[in-house]
Amino acid sequence: MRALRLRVADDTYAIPMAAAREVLADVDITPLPTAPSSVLGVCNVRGEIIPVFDTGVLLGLGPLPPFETVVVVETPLGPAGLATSDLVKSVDLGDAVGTTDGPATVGAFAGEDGVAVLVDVEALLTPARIAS
Amino acid sequence: MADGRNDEFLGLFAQEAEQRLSDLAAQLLALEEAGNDAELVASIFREAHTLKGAAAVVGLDAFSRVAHAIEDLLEQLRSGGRMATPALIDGVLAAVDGLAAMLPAAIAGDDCSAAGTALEGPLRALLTSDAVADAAAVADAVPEAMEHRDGALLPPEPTEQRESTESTEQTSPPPSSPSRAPADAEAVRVPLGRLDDLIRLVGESAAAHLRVGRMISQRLEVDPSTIDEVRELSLLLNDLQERAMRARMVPVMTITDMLHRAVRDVARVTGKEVRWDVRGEDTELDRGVLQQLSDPLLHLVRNAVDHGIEPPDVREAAGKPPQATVRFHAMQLGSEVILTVTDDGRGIDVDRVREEAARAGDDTSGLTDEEMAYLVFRSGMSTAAFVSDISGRGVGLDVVRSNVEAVRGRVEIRTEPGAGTEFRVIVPITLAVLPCLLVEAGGQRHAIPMHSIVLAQDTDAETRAEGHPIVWVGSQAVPLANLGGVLGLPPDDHGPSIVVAGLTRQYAFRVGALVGQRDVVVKGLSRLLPRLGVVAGASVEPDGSIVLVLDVAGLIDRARNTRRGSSALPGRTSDTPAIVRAKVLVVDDALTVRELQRSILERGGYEVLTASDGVEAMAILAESPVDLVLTDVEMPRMDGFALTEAIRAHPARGNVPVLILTSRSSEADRQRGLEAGADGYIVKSAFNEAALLSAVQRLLGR
Repeated sequence: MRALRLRVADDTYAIPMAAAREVLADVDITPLPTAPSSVLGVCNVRGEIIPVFDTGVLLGLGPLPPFETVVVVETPLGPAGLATSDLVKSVDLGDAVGTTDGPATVGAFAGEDGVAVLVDVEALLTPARIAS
Repeated sequence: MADGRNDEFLGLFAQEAEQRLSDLAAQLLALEEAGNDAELVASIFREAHTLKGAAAVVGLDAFSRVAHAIEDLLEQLRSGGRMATPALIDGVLAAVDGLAAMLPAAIAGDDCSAAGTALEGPLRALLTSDAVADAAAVADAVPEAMEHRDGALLPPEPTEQRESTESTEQTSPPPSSPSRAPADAEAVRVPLGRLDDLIRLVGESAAAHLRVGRMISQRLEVDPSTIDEVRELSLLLNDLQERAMRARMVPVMTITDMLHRAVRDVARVTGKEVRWDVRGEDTELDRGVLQQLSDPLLHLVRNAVDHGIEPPDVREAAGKPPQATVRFHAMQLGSEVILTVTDDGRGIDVDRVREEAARAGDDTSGLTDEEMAYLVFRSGMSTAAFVSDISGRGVGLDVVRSNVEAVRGRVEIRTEPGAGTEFRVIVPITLAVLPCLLVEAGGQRHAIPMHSIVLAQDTDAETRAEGHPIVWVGSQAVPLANLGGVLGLPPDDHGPSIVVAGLTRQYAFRVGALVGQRDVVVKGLSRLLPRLGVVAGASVEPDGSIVLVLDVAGLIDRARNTRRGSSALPGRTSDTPAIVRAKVLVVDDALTVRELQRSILERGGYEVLTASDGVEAMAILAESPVDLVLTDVEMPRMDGFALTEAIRAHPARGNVPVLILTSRSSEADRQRGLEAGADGYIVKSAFNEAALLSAVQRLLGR
């Protein structure tokens, strides 16, 4: 299956290509006062105001160091940006090689250059997880 | 022809019938005012006749029979044998209402013959009755008409769940029914969602255009405004945007028939003579705004007739004409529309409001009559005694206010005893574009809705009171916070301040700079995000950056919590009760004031001692230490100023904070209080429960 490989802090994650809409670099993010730590702010994507989230916080890894890239994904409650530490790459994921117990993850899969943890985007971006 | 029914025709008939019934009702009301106007009678006859024919064509026989009976009655008027008495109009109106209520069920294919017969009966009775019998029919017809207005189907027709939502939608009076378009104009009905899509797309085209301009200047290093084609496109887009917004606007006349009808019905039931006067019917307003306002306005006109206007004999005894006037005027003023409901009735009985307020635990001394009248908007005012005694103006008026505030509007009242009352509802023309003040704070731009701004001052007007920064607005001390700091951004040490009004209090914020006033197209934030109290929405600037539109009430809440030192705890918004109960000594010679303050403070979590003058207060202080003294100024034996000086001179109690509460609002008095050593000064006219508690909390530092 095609997936976007992204690095979050020191770990390698992947999100299904089908869930991703686009990848943005050099994004201007307007912070939202009083928002929980998982929310980095909002950005303007061609006139649309999209929230950007700290993928590290959502995955329970702690806040990201300065990030470079935002992957825009679609969710039932509208589009959302996931900030990642590094450039993302499109990869082919092979067989499952193990299970994971991290939040909102599906399992570990063999990728083109190493093992990646596949993320369940819909489970990652729920209002409850974002607010906590 | 029931099995020959064709859904398409039925749909058309539903639209047509809805329109014709609403036109019929409007014309009947006009006829009542005008007497036997031949043209009007002919026009109403034609409407009924056409309706009868159309209903028969789609096989709605019950519907058709009722329309036929109406036609017959009008024929009696047309041939000159009969007068358009109120009773006759009542009967026909009731039938028209009944048809409107029956329409959804009829369209859904339910058997309406019983309902039709129920409507037809009274009409046929009217046909054979004479003027004497007309009068007798009133009693039956009026309550029936009132009942139908609530959208209930007629008794013989059980409403199934499937249709209930549909029926309420279709039978609700205008504005959900189509606007009365001029007869000769061509009109198309368009679902509102399509218009909203159009407006959104136009907005996005404008944004895309700006990005193209930016690209031209960056890549080609040409100022886009020097290129004719680019300039022309931006003019066109501006024009398009304005026209798209206009498409959502409807004239106020789409709801005036409903208001007229309410006035008439209430007048008939209460036996009052009321003339209805409308002006500015063609004033246009965003459909969403007008729809939100139809209930509050309905309430205001009913209230005006029911409670504002006196019975004819009372009016005559007071030297007024027996026929009263209820005026509904609409006018546009800049980006706002002002809708006024005026009656020439008895006015609001301010003394009774005062009594009720006192009974409800409010100190109203020092309030002007005007300020007192505003108390009718408090939900607490709708006590039973209030309802029956002072014209029920307390009932639902708080709902009027909250509905109006929901569309970012406000309500003003003017009332004069014996001469009448005027309610002014002031709303923005549209909600899609919000006039905002743009400010810079903490290095970022923010938009603050203009309607919540009391004043913006360019100078550093800060003083300190009770150890906290404040600014003076008139004679009222308004706490000052730093906008950047409240938003978690770097605070600005110097700069202008703005005073904003939330629902219950005013607050001032220091900002880095005032950028200017602008109409902002507000977008909501993603549904993925939790509700952020301080942010109402966001807007994309021409340069592509995002400006947050701040929520003033949320901002004030947060500023108050920050002041109490709880800003380090995110998400904590509610007031924290004092854990160790602080002791407050209340000094006032009026028992009611004392007890009022005692109850407020005890509810606020304080322990309260009371004294009736300065001498007694000093005696209590000698016995037991207190954390704060709240004192009146004018008292026998020892007044508040003397008490303050005595406390300050006391060896052991010299540091107790003293808060002076008085009806005097002069600068000299304030100065005198502060010189005597008081820590705070509350003017009674600005006094309310929240103000008292927050002043006490500030002084106690909790």
